[in-house]
Amino acid sequence: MNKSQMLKGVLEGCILAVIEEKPTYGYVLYVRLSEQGLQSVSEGSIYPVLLRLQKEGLIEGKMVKSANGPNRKYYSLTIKGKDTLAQFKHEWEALAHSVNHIVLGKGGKKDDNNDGIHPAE
Amino acid sequence: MTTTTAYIQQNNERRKKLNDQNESFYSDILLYVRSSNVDQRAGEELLLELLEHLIDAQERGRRAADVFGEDPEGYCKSLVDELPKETLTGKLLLWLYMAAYGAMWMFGLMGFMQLLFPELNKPVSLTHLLIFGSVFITIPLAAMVVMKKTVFMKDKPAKINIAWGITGAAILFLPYPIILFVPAGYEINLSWIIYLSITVILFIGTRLLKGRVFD
Repeated sequence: MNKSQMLKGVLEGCILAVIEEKPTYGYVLYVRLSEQGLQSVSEGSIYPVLLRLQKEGLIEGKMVKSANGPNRKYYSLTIKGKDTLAQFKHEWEALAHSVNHIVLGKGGKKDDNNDGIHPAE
Repeated sequence: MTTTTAYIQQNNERRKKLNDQNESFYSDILLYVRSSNVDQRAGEELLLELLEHLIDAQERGRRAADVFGEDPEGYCKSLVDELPKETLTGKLLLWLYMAAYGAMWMFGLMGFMQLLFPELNKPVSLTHLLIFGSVFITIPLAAMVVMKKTVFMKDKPAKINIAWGITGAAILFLPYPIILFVPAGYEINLSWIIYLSITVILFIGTRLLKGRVFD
């Protein structure tokens, strides 16, 4: 399976979750994502996602002028964004649970004892 | 100063921080976004964001291609697709502003010519003026379309020079055949006071429009 295809849908949820912690701007958002293991996200690819989330009204950006540094666009969640994130968390939990169960074996852990054969009902 | 103009000025200033290679990569993105049909303010905000990110990345020793990928055209398309589009009102206001600005210069020049060299006094054909106006708006617009199409081509510099060469030549040489071959209809001959009054009115008009066009 194409790894980037799979990641694409998840990325939006992850970006919403990072922004929920505290309002942040693009570069820091990328750093937070890659620190937490999403290394396959290329730096620039967060910007089309940020634009889409703005268009859908899930986040809003605000240019903040800093005294000595450059202007930064800080993103925060809208009410709609908070609802969507809550829904994403819920769906992800259910999905992750079933995928773990199916792909890795019962209980979400690798089970080597059965040699991949389904036990009799 | 409007917000958009402030963003553009800031972009020009901050862009100096980039090294040559990154600057050239970023300029292509800038050209592509600016020549696309997107809301100007949203586009400039995005360009500033990308620029600041690239400056940060450069300090970490990364190249623009590491940040934005090896396919800048595809990347730009994905950005432009998600940016809000320019509204019809916005577009019309921009056209009106450009037309008024051009007319202001024209009437201003005509007023001063009448004032300084009354012996050259010749009637002006409104038909000719209208054709000049449309030619001067259409040609640079066409050149911009060509430029956008060629932004990411390998032999871009040559193509851009040709596009601007044709534009310049057309603007320089087209007025003569128009005057020669198009019959001069609706001739007017006004005094310099009227020309300069029109100029002043257009000047005030463009000042008022500017705030709405570049918000």
